[in-house]
Amino acid sequence: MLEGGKISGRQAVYLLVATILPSSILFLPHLMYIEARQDAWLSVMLVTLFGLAAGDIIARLGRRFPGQTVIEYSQVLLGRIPGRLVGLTLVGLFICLNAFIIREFGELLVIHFMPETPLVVFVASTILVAVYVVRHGLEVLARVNDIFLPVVIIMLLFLVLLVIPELHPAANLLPVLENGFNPVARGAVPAGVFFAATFVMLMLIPYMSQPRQARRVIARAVLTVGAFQLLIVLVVISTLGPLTANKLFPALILAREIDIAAFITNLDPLILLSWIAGGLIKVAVFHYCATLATAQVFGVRNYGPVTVVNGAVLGLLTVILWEDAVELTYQAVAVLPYFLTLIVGIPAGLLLVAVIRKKGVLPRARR
Amino acid sequence: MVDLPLSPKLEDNLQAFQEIIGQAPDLVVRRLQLKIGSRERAAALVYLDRLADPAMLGDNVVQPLLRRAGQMGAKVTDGDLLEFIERNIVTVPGARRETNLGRAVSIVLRGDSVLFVDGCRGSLILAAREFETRRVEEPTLETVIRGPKEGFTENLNTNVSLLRRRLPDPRLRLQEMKIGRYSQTRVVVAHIAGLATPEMVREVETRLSRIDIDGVLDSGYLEQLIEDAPYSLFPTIGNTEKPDVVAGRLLEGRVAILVDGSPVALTVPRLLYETIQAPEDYYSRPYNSSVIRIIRVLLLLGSIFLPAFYIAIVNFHPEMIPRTLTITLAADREGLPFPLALEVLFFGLIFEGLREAGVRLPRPVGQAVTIVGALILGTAAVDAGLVSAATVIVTAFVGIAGFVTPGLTDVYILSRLFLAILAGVLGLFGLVIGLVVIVTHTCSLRSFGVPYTAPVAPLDFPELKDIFIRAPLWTLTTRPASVTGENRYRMRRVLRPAPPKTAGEGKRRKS
Repeated sequence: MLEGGKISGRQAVYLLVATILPSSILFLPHLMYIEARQDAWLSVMLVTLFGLAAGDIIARLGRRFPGQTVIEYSQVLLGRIPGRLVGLTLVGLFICLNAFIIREFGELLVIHFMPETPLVVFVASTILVAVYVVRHGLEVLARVNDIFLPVVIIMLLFLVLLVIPELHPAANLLPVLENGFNPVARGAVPAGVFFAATFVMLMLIPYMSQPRQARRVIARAVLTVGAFQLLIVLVVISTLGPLTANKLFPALILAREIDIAAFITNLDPLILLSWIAGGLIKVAVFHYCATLATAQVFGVRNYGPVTVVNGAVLGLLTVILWEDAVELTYQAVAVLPYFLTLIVGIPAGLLLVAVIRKKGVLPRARR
Repeated sequence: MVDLPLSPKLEDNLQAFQEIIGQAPDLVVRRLQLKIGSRERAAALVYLDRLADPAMLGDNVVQPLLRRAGQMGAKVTDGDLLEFIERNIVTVPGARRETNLGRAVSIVLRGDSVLFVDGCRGSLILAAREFETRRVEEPTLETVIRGPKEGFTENLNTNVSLLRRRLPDPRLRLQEMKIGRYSQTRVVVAHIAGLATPEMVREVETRLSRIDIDGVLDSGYLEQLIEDAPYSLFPTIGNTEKPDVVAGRLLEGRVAILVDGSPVALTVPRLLYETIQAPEDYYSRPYNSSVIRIIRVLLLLGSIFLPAFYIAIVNFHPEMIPRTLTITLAADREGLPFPLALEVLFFGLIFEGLREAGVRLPRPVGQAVTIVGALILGTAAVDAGLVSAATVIVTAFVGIAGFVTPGLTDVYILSRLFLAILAGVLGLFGLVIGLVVIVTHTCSLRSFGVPYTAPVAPLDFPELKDIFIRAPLWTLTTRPASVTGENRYRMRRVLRPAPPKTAGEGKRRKS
């Protein structure tokens, strides 16, 4: 087997939370607010339900094909060539989404912190670190995350706590459902891509020490992320109000609002620091999945060299796919829904085929 | 070792002995003439001056031989002669027969004495060692205010006895082996049967038996030859000078390695959290220990990250500094010639130099150097406008913080350098990059199969009761999960002390 390590159910939950949470806190409030305005928090609830449903499909697939990743069982289900094509599509998805995330973080750093440093520097160092982490394997990745995720969560709660004096919930959150339900649904679409990131479990379920827990793991992760996302969206909207629409990274603006006794001020770099650490974990998880998937599609024994090759491709795509931050944001709204279709569509399609062709371990046969 | 059987002739044996050992000024050959029955028999006692105890040999070997050899009847044959001497005449506690000359030589070199008797195809080994050793003293590196103050010495037998006295239980197992082609160093692997896992003990012994080196002069040699991650900055083998610490670690299911000639014992597996523990934590009440542990963690992190953080904040994110301080800092840095990163690195180097000078020089002079260096050099450098006062403060703080957790000395200098460069180029982002790299590296380490960062990563929440804080002793009912095998409970569950129930005020207590 390519990967010898196993991760516990708890580590899988932590990994999933780290994969979704830091970037969604940074990017989602703005994207959701454009569509849903003050009802964005309802969109969060909606998207959490969607995340649970999408995760359930993945968990069901994992149960049907114990010990196999999606790359392996798609070939069982569809035959070698079509199965591999599906595998390649997934590799493409992993890499493109990763490129998107890296670029988002890169633009954020350039715009907000170091305008004179070229973007390439951030992209290259992020990818180098991701490659370094991934080469150590899944177990180490999970352990690193065990250290960083608590820090990210603590910083988040710290931020919320310090911002409490600035809250104006009544003024900014009412009226509820001013324009009906449609904006809420539209606001949930960009968030869907983030919450569907549980699809990394397509690659990870076989490396859990108890793969049977997959459904519970995904559900816990989605609910945790949903709860934190709800909290942060509520806090952002009730603090910034309509300003949320103008700020690309409202959660960061929040950190800037902090002013305690005129001594602790401008904590945004520190808060951002923890989110970048979390973001690096996310990038590493995606890179790990992309690498493992590539290795399995092409039947490579040792994924060490693949991490480097994939990393190079990833770096190239990150730099050339988008012209600038504006195009990036535009695409986030325009193109990501199509990605979402693929992320949900592929597992759903595979599950459908498995049910129809009665492949894999049948749910009833297990009992 | 020369493999040579002994000859029955005394002179042949002595000559062969001399040939093996060469011109040895400390070799003593005490010739004796034994009266056995009616006959006279030549004999020789061979030992090394200053290693064997001449007084003990005189009282217990030479005197009885000369006085009482006559008791032997003529019925004692040549074959039985040595056995008769061993059983009935010499009175040293340790005596045994040896037929191989090579082994006899190496035993003499270790301090025992050997008796050759003409006509006997064999020799008698007599244990009567006496050599100069340091006495049991308070350890210099690990000092405690409360708790046992005994430290290991260079004598393995003393060290073993110190350990035995703390754990007089048959389950304390000591396995001895000899390592070193020339030094023939005695090495003892200690564990408690039923607490340490057999795989762990076997792994330690396998790694030790692999070693083939000319000499082992200190346990540091073994540490470097059996560690898990030889390229890593992080130590994966623990060391201590204190027998109570070794006993404590053995009781947690660890394995200890004692080396003759070294006052420092090794313990494995060694995990990262041991860096922030001190023996005293367990000997005093929990509150202070817990606060001190948290301070140790903060200072450890500060010692590694503060210079880089300082560089990143001042260079890239001055808005994070409180407003009034920003102005002071900016005024302070006005007109300084060097870039900040260079300044920090340069002053860090000077601090390390001062530290080294303080260690190497004789103690009174060493202190003078440190004071002169720290006070005068620092102040003068600031006054001369070479460095900013803040840099001197940061460097001094970082250096002192490093002393709080001396277990990671290897890590400090290089990781500080690495992070300072990253922070100088990329600011806080560089710091995060460096942080992730260092954390990843630490997480990838294992010490004898145990994840180095356990129980923080992989996280085991109940185990944290003895990591960042030290929970009350009666709550520490289990041994550390990452180290111990099956035998988990080290005390009865309910040991929380409580006052006895007494009758209320003013009433008489029932008798």
